[in-house]
Amino acid sequence: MRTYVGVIALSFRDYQAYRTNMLLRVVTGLIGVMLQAVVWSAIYARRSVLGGFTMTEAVTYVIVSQALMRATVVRSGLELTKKFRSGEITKDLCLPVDLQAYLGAKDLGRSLSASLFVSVPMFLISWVAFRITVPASAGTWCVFLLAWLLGVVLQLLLGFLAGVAGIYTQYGWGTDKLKDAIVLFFSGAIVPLDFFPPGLERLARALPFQSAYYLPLSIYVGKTSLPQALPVLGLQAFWCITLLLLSRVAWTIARRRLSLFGG
Amino acid sequence: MVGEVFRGFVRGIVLYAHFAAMNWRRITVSPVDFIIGFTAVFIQECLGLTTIVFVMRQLPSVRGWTFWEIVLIYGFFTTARSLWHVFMINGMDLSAYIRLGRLDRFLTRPLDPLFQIYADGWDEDGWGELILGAALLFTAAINLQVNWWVRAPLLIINLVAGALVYAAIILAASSLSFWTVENDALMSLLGTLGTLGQYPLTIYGRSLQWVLSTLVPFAFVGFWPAQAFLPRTASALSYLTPLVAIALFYAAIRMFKAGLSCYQGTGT
Amino acid sequence: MGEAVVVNNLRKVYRVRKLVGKWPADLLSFRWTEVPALQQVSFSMNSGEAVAYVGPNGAGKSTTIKILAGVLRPTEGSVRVFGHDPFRYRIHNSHNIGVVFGQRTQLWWELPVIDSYRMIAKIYGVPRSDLDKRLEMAVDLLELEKLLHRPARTLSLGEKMRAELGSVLLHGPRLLLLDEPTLGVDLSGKRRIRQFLAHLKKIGVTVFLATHDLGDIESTCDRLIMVHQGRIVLDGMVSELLASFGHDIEVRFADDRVEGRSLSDALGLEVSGANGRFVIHGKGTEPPVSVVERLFSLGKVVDISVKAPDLEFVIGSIYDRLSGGQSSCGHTSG
Ligand SMILES: Nc1ncnc2c1ncn2[C@@H]1O[C@H](COP(=O)(O)OP(=O)(O)OP(=O)(O)O)[C@@H](O)[C@H]1O
Ligand SMILES: [Mg+2]
Repeated sequence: MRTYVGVIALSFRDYQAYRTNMLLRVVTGLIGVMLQAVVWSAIYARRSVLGGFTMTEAVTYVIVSQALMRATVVRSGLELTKKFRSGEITKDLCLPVDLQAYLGAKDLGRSLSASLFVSVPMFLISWVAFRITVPASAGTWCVFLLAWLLGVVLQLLLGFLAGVAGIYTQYGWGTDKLKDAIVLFFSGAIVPLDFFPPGLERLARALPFQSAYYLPLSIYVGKTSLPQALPVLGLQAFWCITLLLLSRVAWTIARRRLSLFGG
Repeated sequence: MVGEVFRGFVRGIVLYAHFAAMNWRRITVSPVDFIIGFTAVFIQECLGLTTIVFVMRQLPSVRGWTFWEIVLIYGFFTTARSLWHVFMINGMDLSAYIRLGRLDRFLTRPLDPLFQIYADGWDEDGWGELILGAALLFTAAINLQVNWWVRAPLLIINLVAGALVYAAIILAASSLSFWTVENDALMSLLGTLGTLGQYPLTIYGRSLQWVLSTLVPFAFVGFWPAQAFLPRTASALSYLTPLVAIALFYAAIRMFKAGLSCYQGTGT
Repeated sequence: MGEAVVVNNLRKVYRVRKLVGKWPADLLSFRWTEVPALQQVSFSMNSGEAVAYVGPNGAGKSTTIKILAGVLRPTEGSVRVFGHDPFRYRIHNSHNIGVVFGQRTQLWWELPVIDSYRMIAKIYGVPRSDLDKRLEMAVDLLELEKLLHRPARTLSLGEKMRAELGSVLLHGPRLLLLDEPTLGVDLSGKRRIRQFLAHLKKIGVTVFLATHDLGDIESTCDRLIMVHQGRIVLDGMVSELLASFGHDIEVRFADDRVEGRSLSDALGLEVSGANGRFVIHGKGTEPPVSVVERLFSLGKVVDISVKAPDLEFVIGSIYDRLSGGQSSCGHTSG
């Protein structure tokens, strides 16, 4: 356990080593925020409610979503396939750590760093500039943060799964990119699921990806009230456990394949 | 003299075709990569569309723009950018070419280094973007009853011009890596800034409209050239885009050459 | 026989951006610091010569090669390759030269080597008949026939380097610029590469070989130029350099009371050892036979062996001297 805390701390510091890059990340994030704010204000120019969302709710949703998107930095899948390609993996498998936990810890460190130094500034500036709302009660904040954390865990698991898939396809960049695209599409990161055409909406709600953005954000904007939040958290936990089991199985199989290759 | 220029031009085209053939072979060697990359980029591009298709579709107009007009501009931008993505994306990786010493190699060959960078590889992932963009452009034009046959040559010219504008912005920015070496963060910033050009320019504030038309002229990738097909709003700028593109690309090449003249290589 | 390369008072200074002050103000306020890589470098090479270019890490070898290749602009001084300024007439120069940057490859990663060769030939505009001829030579000398149809990414380091060497001679360069071509290559690979270079030399190609591997030099080069901290510190024939260092003679006298000091005085040479066993460090000026004869006259010799100086030793002791350290074997005197 101590090891993993150390890994988290290390990658936390590593990620912010280049302050210029951090600054540029904030600026890039804010450009995205501005685009969303402008587009959604234009959409609401002549009407007050659309798809059950008021303008403030919709703008808040998409802007906070932009901040959350910058907060999760999942690179473990890419790292896994890279290690596999370079043969470094045989060395790593001899280390007394669990590779998935190790890579996950690294991502967690990065994500913490990004949350603190990219997302929080983005959020604060957007709060002033675009007058987004913030949850009034501390309870909502807590539940939102918990839901978001479960969303991050889910993304870490998906990232690792994509990495294992990358070992099979021998094309880590592609599988990782594909995973990103699918997650962003079905998680409601860009547009709340309520706006999806009915068929797609039903599909998106049946898939695990909504955990990453839609579920935490609907708690944030108050679409999910506190009493309703408990089953939501349960659903998120369910998906996390399912994906964890799935990734363990996939990893075990992949390792067997590794030893077949002689590493 | 003229004959020499002409011969050089022909040789350039023939060589480009050979480079292209190498690329084609490279793609067919690993079709799985191609399919995954293609699908990934395709879904990713659809992502940007969700706002338009899921939300704006329900509205008669947004800031005076009808749904199909917005789709046309979006599709035009996407198609122009995809042309850049497929054929000229390497300009973005200049810092990697320097860092890995590949530019050194290009400089030992009897060809222009910039030509070699662009010819070095296509990004087949961009085909996903191209297909999506073309489909959007096509359906929008049908719904807007654009007379295609008269305007086809103009369409092609304007699309190429848009792609060149995009290439010019990226090349100018990545030429900075002759002086600073690392600029990946700047590239991702520009990529995000570029997405502002997908929507009708007038939804933005005055100052942002100016920035997007002059300082980082992404408005010339989609918004201005696309309006040559929207008689309601077309302006002189829509027909001037090819000239703007040539001027900007020329300026970007000058910047690349200026950087190259201070080129120092890497320490390895 | 014309001059292939003439370098006169060449100077190259790298300018490195150094940030000053605190972030983020440092992004705008920076200074250029100058890293001198080459200073007052002059040498010339005749056509058909094979010259080894050695020096410790950071001496300026790669910099020189990049300047000769026309990749970098010299800060000062004049450089001529077959009579032309390589930076100004880069394209003209590129037809004359073949460059290998160690451990990098110009081969298309995913494609069979032969495809890359064909493409490179097209880049240089090589006619079909010439290509076939040179290809045959490369395949023969570098034993490429098994590699030609494999994608470059599947080749091992040494195989890749062999394939790379083949790729730079397809356009028939008159001058080969090689930057550490045997780095990381195993013994048999090195042997092939050396045979290949020797053959090129035989057919009149000028070879400029920057390397840390002294075996490369012994097998290929007649002449050696040593650069240190951007200055040329040695330029001469390899054989003369070796001869100037003299032999080491190990000797054992029957009488173990013979003293090192008196031996040294009698011979006028440096001597190490004690108790009747000594190593006499000969000078290049006196042939070893005459030293041996003189030794026999100094006492009853039980055992004697003569060791010729090898390049590794010679270069090693020059490096030691350059870096200010004492030479381990006392060759510094004289
Ligand atoms: N692009 C560059 N920018 C700044 N300094 C450089 C650059 N390239 C080389 N140098 C510096 O110039 C000096 C000479 O470098 P060069 O690469 O020519 O040495 P070398 O003899 O090839 O060394 P090695 O044996 O390690 O390859 C070194 O001090 C190096 O740090
Ligand atoms: Mg070097």
